Amino acid sequence: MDKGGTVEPTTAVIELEDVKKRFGALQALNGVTFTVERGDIFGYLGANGAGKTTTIRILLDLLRADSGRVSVLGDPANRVETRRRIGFMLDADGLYDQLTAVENLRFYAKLYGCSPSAGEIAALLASVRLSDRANDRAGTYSKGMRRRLALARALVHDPEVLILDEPMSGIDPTGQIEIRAIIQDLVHERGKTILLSSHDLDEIERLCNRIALIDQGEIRITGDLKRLLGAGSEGQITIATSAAVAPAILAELRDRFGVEAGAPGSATLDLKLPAGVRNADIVSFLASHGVGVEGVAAKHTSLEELYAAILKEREA
Amino acid sequence: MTVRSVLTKAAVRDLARSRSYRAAFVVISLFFVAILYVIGVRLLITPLLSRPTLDRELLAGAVAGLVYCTVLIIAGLSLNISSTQPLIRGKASGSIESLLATPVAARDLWFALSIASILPGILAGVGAGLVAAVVLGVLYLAPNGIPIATPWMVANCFILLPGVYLMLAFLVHAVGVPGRATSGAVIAQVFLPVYASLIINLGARDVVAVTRPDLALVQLGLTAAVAALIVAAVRGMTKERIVLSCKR
Repeated sequence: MDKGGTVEPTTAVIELEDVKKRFGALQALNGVTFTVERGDIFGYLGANGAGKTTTIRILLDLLRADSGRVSVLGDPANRVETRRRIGFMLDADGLYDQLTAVENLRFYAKLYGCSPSAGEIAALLASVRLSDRANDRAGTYSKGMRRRLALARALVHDPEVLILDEPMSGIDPTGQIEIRAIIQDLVHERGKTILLSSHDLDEIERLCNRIALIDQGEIRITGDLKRLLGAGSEGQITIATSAAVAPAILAELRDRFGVEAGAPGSATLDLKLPAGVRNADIVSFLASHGVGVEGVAAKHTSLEELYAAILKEREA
Repeated sequence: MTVRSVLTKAAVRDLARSRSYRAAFVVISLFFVAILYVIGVRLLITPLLSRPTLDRELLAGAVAGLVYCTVLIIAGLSLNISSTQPLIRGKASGSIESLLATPVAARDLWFALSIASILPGILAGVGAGLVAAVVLGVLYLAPNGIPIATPWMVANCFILLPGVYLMLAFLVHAVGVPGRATSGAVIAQVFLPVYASLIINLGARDVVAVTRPDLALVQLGLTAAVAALIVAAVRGMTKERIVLSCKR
């Protein structure tokens, strides 16, 4: 798994503290609190309607929070100077269809008070693989090309922070790999900080070093992704066996070691070991009962499993 | 270059490059202006010229009326066509939301969209009006020793009428940008026929004339009334209202 986070997180770049937002009867955000540190690729995860877009709109000063504190780069999010330091890519591309890629980029650059040279614009378009269509109107682009142009637009004023809402939406697998590489490069080589909102668990798991999971307007978990996944799989192992393990052996394993066993597969066995029980004890026990052990691996909890567990907990 | 001028330039360019806008604007304008001139020349100017004694003031008024209606129709049609589609498209495509996430303020956006929606129409209307004034003047006024243009005719056709449309464009967008785009467009769609029939009726009864200051007063009063409505509408214009109106 390729993760970000090689830059030492030292400073809070985005801070939300007890942010609330209501639309009529709907409490869209209910005390949202999380922090994005410098150098993070921070995954903001949640189902459709969970509150991701509302949070992003508040960060971009498109909506005002009813209460709570929102700051970006140490300043309130509603300052014009703060917005000049943020690049964004919203769910909708927001490109001018009748303008070419170059004209779109120049236009947005001017709004930020920049005037990039022809070479800089060309380099930017090359970085998102649009050099050959630079002078075509955006209205003639495919969905994937529009997303790439929107990403280039987010970078046109060389912002310190990028807020990306569903950046991979509508992009083919090749394009996704390329955008993933661009995002990682932006953080690791160019020192940017990225807040990436998505409901694609796989995308978040591949890219992000820290996450927050929002559900029904509330943050359910937030923190370092590796730690969160590790915490969910502590003491869990998967044993590869030469054949299916008999139920009687599993029962004895449970009685003797207090081990919880998952449903046995044809040649695998998922076990959760209580504190003090070593892998070697289990392997030795299985061998003594004639079970051929071919391998032992610490079980890896996927983000999907973590997500499902959290939702299940909420429903309970 | 200010944010407003950057926004306005891009919005005008986006609109001007739209084939559907250009086609609709040119075809509909030509159609209505052609009807105007057929009716105006046959029913107004030709009967005046065939009278035994030429009423010079009436002839100058008829020509000025045609020039005024040329600007009225072309600028009005442009506002009708361009006030709805770009706004609906901008809200649906997310470009309005994207613009507001940059250092652009809500009122910058409103200002730029308003100017962009009326500027091509005013330029085309004033241009066509000037051509009409010269052609009609050379054909009907100059041979009878009547000046081609008078100060009130110039003020009414080329300054005050574009001013009314400019204010109207601001009002249309003051309603349409933070609310429903179609609600703003209704103002533009109602204004042209109502105002045109009102002015034609008042002109036929000699209450107002393009060559006199009374029409200037009517237009100034209208501009002031629309300006007052704009001030009221713009007061509650926030990014949040605009963004929430961009339902996709």
